[in-house]
Amino acid sequence: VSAGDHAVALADVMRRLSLLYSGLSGQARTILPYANQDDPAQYPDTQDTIRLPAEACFFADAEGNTDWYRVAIAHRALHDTLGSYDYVFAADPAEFSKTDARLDPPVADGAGDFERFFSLFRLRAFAEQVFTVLEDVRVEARAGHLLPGYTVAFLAARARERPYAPWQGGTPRQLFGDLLVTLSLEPEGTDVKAPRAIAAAAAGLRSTVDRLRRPGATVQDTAEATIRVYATAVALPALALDPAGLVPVPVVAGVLPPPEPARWPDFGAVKLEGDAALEITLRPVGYRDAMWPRFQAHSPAMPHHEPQIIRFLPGLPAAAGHDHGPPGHDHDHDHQHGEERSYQEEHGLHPVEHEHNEPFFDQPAPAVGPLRPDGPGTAVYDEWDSVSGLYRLSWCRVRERRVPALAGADVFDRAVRRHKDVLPGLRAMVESLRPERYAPVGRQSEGSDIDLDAAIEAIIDLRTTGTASDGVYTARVPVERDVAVALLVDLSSSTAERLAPAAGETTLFRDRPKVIDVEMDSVALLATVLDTVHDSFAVYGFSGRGRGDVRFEVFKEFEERLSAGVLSRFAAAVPIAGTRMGAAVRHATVKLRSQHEQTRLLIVLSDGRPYDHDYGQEYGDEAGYASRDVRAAIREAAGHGVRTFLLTVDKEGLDYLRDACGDGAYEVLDDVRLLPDRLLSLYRELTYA
Amino acid sequence: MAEAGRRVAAADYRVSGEPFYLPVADEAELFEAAYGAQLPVLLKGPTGCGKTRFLEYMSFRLGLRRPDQRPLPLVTVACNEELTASDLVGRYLLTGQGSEWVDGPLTSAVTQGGICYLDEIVEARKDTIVVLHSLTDHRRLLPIAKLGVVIEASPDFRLVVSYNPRYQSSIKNLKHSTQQRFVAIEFGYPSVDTETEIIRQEAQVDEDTAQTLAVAAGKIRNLGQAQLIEGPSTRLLIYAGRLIASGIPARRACESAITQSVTEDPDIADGVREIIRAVVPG
Repeated sequence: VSAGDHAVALADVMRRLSLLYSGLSGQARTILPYANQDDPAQYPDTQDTIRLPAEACFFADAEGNTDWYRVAIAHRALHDTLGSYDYVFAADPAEFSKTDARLDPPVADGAGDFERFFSLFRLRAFAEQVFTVLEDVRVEARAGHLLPGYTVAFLAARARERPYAPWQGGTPRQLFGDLLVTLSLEPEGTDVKAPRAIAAAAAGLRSTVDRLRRPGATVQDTAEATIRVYATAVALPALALDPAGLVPVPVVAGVLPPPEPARWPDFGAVKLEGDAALEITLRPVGYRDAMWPRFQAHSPAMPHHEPQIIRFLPGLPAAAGHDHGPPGHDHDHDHQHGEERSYQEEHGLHPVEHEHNEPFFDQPAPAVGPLRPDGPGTAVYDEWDSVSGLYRLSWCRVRERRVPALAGADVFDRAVRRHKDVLPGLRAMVESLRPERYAPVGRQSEGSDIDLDAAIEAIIDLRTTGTASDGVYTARVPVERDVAVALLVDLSSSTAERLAPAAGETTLFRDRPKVIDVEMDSVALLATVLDTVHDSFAVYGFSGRGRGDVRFEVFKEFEERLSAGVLSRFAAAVPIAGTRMGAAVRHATVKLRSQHEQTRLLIVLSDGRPYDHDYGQEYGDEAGYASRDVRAAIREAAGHGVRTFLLTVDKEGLDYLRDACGDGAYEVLDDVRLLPDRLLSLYRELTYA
Repeated sequence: MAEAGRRVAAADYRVSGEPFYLPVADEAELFEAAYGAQLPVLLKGPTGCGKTRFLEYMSFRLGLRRPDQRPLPLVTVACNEELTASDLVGRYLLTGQGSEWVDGPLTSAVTQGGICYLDEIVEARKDTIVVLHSLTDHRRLLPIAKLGVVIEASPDFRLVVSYNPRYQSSIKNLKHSTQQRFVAIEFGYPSVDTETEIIRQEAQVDEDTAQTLAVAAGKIRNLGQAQLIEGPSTRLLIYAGRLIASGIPARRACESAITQSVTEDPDIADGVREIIRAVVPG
């Protein structure tokens, strides 16, 4: 099919797919594009992420391609809502009898139920694949009832997967595996043919598959079905056979006969004729997810799968095991590096001290000479050179960018969950900031008291002219606050560092928040307060990649209201690179100057000293140079009526910037966990006059 | 049945006919017990989940037990930020000759008996709510400073307030000193089955349609507070059902009654539409 203009980019539909997923499943996961569209062993989904092709171009119309994405999301949501991951080893199935020989396998203490189940199988990877396909059958059988709006879309997505020639030779086992996938794609009762050599096995397979389509089937039934299908598959001869002579696979009409109790496959009796005989690969179906990483998520003690191990090994191409050309060929190092790191990080395998989410791709700015704005959203600022005692004119170029929303992210919820202890303070703060002072205003048409002057005038008017104004009351109206505040958040790469565990805390590394998360949590909490008390505020982030490329990320502008969309931008904050604070302060000052409020405040959250790769290094005292530039920027801001406060988190409690701010406008926290609470109380102190 | 154009004094309003209400749990028994013990009641729950309907139903049901078998008078005040104590208690109005005191709805209910219902009390200013305090404890008194009097509440007077612990729940909340004066009855969204029955009954649609709407609402409510300040209410589902019953195609009816009503954010509206599309056959 020539897709052409009808292709649909994931980026264009990502937000609504994410909302669709949240709605259908009641959970939130981040949707990410495949890193490499051609890699057959894509990074699989995890508990927190869904991976989909960056572009869908399978159908000749855009709606069809969008439907393909919808089906992919719906399929995953069905797994979540129909309990695919709720497997309990000891629970009883509904549709099958329980296999007698399901003895408790010898596994490590604390192993999950999936681990106990799959460790029963010698060909574990095959068992996992069979389980996945059978579970796909079970959940998709319910799609027609649960998601009737997608009936056509599901049919189309399945039909796209079907047209292939399954019976082109191969061992009976492989043909059996092909048949399993085919049956999972065909509607119940469709005419399906299989080679005569596996006719009996095929009939049994079909009845097992159909049994899983019953409304009462549970994930325990899928497990039982897996044992049966697996046992049949490994008992098939591993000889090549003539694929001629297709016979129909019978459909059992009406009530299914009771399934035979499965016998545990007797491995001694299984003839293994060379390694090749073991190879049964179940063809992946494009819109369905690979479930195996999530089986592992339930069993932390598990060894890793081979493909996973290969990905972790340095120096090997990511898709080793698949014929992808020589190692290093067509291998974008930066890109692969980023992928590997994030994958490891998802799985909590290695501490990630610093990560760079984007490579340094820009041309570096020249070492000397003024810069010019290079497009919309850019501006240049002077920088204070404390060594020469002169401003370096037009020295830094700030590039402003509006941060796109991160679909499905629930920052306020996340923040509230993580910092429950802050809530009482939050509430108290709103109470204290809310305008509780009321001032009486006369000549109102409604009010609690009569405005005597206005009343007397009204009576005179009434008697002389016959009409009078109805503004004869005094009302007490709240006194409005008059504050505008810009929050400027450090997005330097060091904010990627994860928090050290608190005493007695046993959280896994991967579950511990990063510094940037705590920063954004704090901002989200404060933002919610500010929105409630109607203070005007903006949220910016900053980082630097040299003087020519100071990043200024806009999460919320003053004139925007705090909608869900804006909050979800907060979740999109990622660590970038250096900390060019002076230029960022100058740019934020320009923004604050255009606000009409009487109190204008700039609060900078940072996680250490300002640093950029060309920020005073030529003098050998970059720390001093940078902090004196920040001091100059703060002084300039003060000249424009903008008050600056710097809140720094530094484990060592080092106060590089005390000189920059002067007393009372600077504070160092030695534990980032204190940040949400401190930011809230600080705001109150700064604005409560 | 309600008579068109019927005009009654606010303090005399009673529901006409038995309101349809499907109890979700033991809320009716709880309310009856609180009524019998003269306790003030706080109804907690999201918009459109049936708090007001419940109160109408209870005013009817409790009225049947009285000698005249008439529903109890129900005085409703919708609270807002501008609502002052004078709006509740009363004020002097200017007349051609001078000024005249006019009772507010609370004073009328306290004097004549009946249920005074302050809807969305959390929206009212704190200084307004304070006037309720002496009515909600053993004193059952309403002081009116401007008249220099204290009114002893009628034995039939009951105070009921409602509030909606939603998005701002962590922030915009009742004062503890106020909250602790009420017996609270919590309302959530009904279960799919109950909601299906409510929609079927109120919108006069078939069970399949009613169930589809209830399921769609459940999925949309999954979006959570960061996306939707509040999920679609049962009331909106009934509206959608009525549109469908009048011949509007189901998805179009949902667009109009649900999607457009729950959010202004175009991205989120797209997401809500996607969910409806999945659950509601086109």
